[in-house]
Amino acid sequence: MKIMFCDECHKNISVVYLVKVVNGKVYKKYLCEECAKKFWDGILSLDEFSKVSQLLGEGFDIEEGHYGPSNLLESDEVCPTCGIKLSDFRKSGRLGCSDCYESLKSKVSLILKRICGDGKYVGKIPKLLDERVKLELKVIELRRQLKFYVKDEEYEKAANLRDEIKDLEKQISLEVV
Amino acid sequence: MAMFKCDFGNWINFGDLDSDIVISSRIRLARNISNFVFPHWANETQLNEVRDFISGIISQSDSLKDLVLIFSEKLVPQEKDMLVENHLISPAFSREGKGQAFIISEKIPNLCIMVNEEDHLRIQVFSTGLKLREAWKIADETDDRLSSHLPYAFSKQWGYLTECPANAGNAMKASVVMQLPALVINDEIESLFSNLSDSNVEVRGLFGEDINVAGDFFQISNQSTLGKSEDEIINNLEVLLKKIIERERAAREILLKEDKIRLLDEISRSWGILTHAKLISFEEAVDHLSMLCLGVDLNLLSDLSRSQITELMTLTGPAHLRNLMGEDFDDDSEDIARAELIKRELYKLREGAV
Ligand SMILES: [Zn+2]
Ligand SMILES: [Zn+2]
Repeated sequence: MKIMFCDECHKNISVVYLVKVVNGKVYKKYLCEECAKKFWDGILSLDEFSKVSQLLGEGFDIEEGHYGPSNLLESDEVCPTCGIKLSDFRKSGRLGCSDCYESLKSKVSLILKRICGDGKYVGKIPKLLDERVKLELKVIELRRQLKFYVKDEEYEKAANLRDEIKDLEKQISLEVV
Repeated sequence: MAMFKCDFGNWINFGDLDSDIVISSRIRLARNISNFVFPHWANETQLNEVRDFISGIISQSDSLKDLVLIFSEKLVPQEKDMLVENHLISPAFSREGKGQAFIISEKIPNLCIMVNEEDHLRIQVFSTGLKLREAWKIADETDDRLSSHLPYAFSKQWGYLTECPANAGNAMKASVVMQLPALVINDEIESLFSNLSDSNVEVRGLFGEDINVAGDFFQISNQSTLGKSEDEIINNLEVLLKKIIERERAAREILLKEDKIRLLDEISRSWGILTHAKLISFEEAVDHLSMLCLGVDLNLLSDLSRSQITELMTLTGPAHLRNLMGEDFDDDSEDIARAELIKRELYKLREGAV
């Protein structure tokens, strides 16, 4: 049997390994008993180290959207609402406020594209949202559903859904004053 | 203190299908309030402002009457430890505490909302066994009730806006904790995990040659949440979990057929240590107790029930033990008290021998 040293303290012989599977890639960390105990809490509590810092740590360049050395000479963008700079985000992987999604948009979209692909938002809608935005999101959701119906050759359902979408779109255009 | 004591036990309720493999399920929704700085960058005053804002809205709204907001600094460290041991709050959350709070419900025992952790709100619902769907239903309803009063940070394009952009989208994390001892013993874990590509899941586990360290627990959760609905995410995860459950069941069958004596030996040794040790650490206790769980699951230990053993696991956690004994211990007396408690309880539960 191969003897491995602990990846954390590099002092003790490892007895266990921590495994993490992300996108089918298996990451392993060999740990000694002592270090394993320290990790034990984190594992069950979903205390994740952020994927963004991980990407940045792997050398992902948020300026260019690909792996490589980043061009640090470029000017530092700032979010006017909270004052967080692009360089702060680069260091921490954390945004400062919800407006950062707009003010640092080009970088945020590169990161999200990398992590989630080109997906449009699908899911719940908060209750306090504008009626108009609610309708627009509803249309996106129904269009997605429509694709599934067409794929499954459920043409009657698809036709009904198409009518529903048309109605909603009419409502949306009426909401514009 | 007494309030927490009775609240905790409630989500620990066993006897469900597959609860011998899927120990627990959890749904977590990340939400932020618009126009407030995210917690990581907020100073103490700003953290307090968010907390007061949320607290104010909860106390004013009739539909949120069942929710109780508790300031973190009002909790003694021991109470925080207990919350962590019950996996209700994260260790990071319990360490910091400034400007933080958590919200529990008088109606829903398995709900715990963290305020000012990584996001302004993290709504969490727990359940034993494989019950993601039930947990999602409760989280969804609670979220609707909150979002009728609180202005969430949300955009058409990215969905719920979170401090870490990787969590944006519907910002739901669905996760389960599984115990897969037979797959570990049969050395099938790695091949199983490498086949999970494209499944949008994340697996974490701690295991190895020396089973004495941490039991054979794995946590499996979804990854990104942009472009998929909550239902789709839960469906995909459930399909995958069913497959893993089948593999673990098959592995258990094989073990029973081919290696019964080795298994009986390991289980008997665990029983021996648990009933004869004079000093036992929490980690060691959990390992041997999970070995007994396996014995129960494989019908090798007939008089014990899984729920009794798992309850003992919770009771022997450091904070629980201290709470039970009502004194502050040093490490040695904690280990002595644990050894005595386990011995007493196991003999009470079972008059025979393995
Ligand atoms: Zn180590
Ligand atoms: Zn900002």
